[in-house]
Amino acid sequence: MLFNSYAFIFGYLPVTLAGFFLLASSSHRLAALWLAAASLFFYGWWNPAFVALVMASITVNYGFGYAIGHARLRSGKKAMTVLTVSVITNLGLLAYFKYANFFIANVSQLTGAELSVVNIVLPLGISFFTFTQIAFLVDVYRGIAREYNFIHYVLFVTYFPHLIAGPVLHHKQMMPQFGYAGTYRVNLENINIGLTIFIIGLAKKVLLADQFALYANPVFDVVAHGGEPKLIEAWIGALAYALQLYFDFSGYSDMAIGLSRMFNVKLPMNFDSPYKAPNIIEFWRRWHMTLSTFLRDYLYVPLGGSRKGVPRRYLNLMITMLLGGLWHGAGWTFVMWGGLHGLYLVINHGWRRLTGAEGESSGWRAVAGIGLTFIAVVIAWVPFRATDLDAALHMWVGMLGVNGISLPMSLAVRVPSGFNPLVVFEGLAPLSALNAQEVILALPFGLAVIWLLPNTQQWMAKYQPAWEAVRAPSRWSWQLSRKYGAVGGVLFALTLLMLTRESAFLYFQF
Amino acid sequence: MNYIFTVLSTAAVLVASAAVLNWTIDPAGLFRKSSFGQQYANYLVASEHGLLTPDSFDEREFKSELATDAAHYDCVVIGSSHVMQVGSTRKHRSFPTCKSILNLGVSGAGIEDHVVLSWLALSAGRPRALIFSIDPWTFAFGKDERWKVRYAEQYPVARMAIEGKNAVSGGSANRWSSLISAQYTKRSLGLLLRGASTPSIEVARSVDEDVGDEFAITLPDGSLVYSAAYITSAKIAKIPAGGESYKTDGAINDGRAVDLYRRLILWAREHGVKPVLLMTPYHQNVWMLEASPNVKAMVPTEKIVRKMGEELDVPVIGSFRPEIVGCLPDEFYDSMHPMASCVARLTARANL
Repeated sequence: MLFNSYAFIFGYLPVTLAGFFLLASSSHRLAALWLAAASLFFYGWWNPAFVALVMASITVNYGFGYAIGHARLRSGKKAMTVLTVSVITNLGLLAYFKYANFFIANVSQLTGAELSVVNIVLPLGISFFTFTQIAFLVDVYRGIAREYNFIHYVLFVTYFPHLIAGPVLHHKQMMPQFGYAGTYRVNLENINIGLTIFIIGLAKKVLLADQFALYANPVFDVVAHGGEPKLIEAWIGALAYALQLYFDFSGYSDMAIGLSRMFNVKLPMNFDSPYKAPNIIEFWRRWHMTLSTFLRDYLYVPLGGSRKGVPRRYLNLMITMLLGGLWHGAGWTFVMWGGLHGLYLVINHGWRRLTGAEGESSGWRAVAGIGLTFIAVVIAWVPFRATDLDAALHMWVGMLGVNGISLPMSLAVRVPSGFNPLVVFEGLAPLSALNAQEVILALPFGLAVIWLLPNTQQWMAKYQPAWEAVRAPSRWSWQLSRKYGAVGGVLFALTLLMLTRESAFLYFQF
Repeated sequence: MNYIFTVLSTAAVLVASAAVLNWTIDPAGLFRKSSFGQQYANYLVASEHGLLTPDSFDEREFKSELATDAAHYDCVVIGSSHVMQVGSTRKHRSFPTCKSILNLGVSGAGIEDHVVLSWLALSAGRPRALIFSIDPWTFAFGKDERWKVRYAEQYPVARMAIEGKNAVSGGSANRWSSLISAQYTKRSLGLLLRGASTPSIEVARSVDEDVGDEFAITLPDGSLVYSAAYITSAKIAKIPAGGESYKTDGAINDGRAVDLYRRLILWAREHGVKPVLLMTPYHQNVWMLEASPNVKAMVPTEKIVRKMGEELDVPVIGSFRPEIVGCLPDEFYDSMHPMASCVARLTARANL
């Protein structure tokens, strides 16, 4: 079931919400059980068979958590052994479902052996619920988490707002909230806030992300089939995809935060205007924040982080980003994307070390930093979206202008014929035949939204929308007033009218 | 309470307004059955030069009515918009050995349209030949959902008749979601602003089919003459390499669909009708990008069509390749719609 569907908005959500608070008035335990069951139903909507898989994963990990918690009281070594077994079990499950075919294909290619690919269906959200549980097990080992209530644990993992595409949750962020009595009482303000954030997220997805997809897909599709885009067309495709992905994933995260708030539970922020980041280090503090934190706490730091000298630090950064790339998908394109970001981070840290520049820049330096970071990120999104490395290479070649540039046909009369063989007058997007006028208006509009407007958390800062505290910008603040209610209503109506073209979220594939 | 009430009531009022507008204007006739399609079909066959094609009009509505008149024609053509130029009452006449042609082509026709329109045509009588125009997406289910709006109920019955199996239907959800669809609201608003809430039937005058008239014209044989504006814009429009991938992305050439189509051909023959397979060409530019979805779909589909023709002993006319059928680059409206002169050339030697 998609958040952006009539079935979810008019069926699942009101029933789950009403059932939760009705049951909560008689028993908190029953309400939690209801929410857990509803979350499993939500998950099973795609493929009921995978409910058994997620429940098996939860039961085994609950057992591991219990065992680690008990073992650490008696022997740290024994606890470490159980932790190691549990992490290997989880990664093994993930490896089987997500990476088996990637592994087989590469072994076949390297050895020349004809190994047949296994028919495996990737369970939805497996990367997210596996990482959530690994984090829990490590936290139990470190003594900062403990869970003996099975229903709460099931709820922590399956809680429907985050189950499919995050945010990646920490036990310490969630469990106290499930235990708090106030969570089980109807709180109209939280429902108002949650509904508003949900509507904003829905609008990002339906009105913006799905629209930019119409510009990105034709360009990447034609390149995937051997087309060689010229300068402007390649940049149109890459920029449109950068906007599509941001509005899609941050829209999903907003919806998750909003939905959860209706149940009086605050989720952590996942986006903080990443395209406004003045450098790549800052970008990773703002993009998919919960995954970045996970990779930092459970991979980069255990690898030694920055504690073992500069060369080792850079190596750790590269390893972390390469594995982060691989987490997104079993393909060399994702490894390339992770590797590029690893390289960016190494360069950024190296630059800081060289110049000693640590503080925030301002004025033109900040603007230049934002521009440079954005371009670097857009370049890296190319392999993330491309079907294979060849297609990514074709896009990059186009973006570098090697294939020349195509200008509007109307300019042809102003230029003497044959003045430059690399300049042709076949329109801005001759391969994908996009409507150039529409794209020229849409792309700056999308960029203006991300650069000039506050993000959802800033709009809603007055109401502390997420788990972390957010500073409110002085001029922009949403109010729970009638005037803003009408604006929210118009936005909601527009999204409902657009829902007839349902589309899945990009991050569902991970 | 005021806030949430304002949000929900504002949204409800706006969505309800859109629904009322769509219900009232109903540009595609989705919600209220009318005899418009029947009237249009009756006027059309009686007209001398055809009728103006209403702007917002579900052609499946009148083509399914026309199908019931198939027995009065020598040859009947089933297919998508690619065969809209096939006809016997036009300047560039197609299939000269057909004494008369009834064109049942509908935009984006999928296999479901082929099944229902063939069944309707043969249930009412028996033309001499049934010409099945195959597109690169024909051998796949669900490539176009519009059939559900017009003949959701007939499809399972037609399919049962052809292969003796039950089929799943379900067009009502699709229809009702149109009530609050932005796309349908845009159409309704457009019609409302133009002040044409219900389509009217207007007789066409005689025009040069290569030039067109102010509005598109449906000729008495069911074929189409595009509007002058469209023909003019098509002449200067640029066709991208590989063409736009229309219905050629995703699943094509599903074995079950191929099997159903074989049964459809055999079923037509059992009814004493001569089945014929037709392929209309795509523009030369489309073939420039061999890895494009269009080319990747056309090559295997053409192989299937030729094999089917050979095995079932059914004539195969035309090709997706323009050089084979001899159509020139300027004989196309766009990447996939050949002009009547091209169609006439490719069907000139067909001896049906």
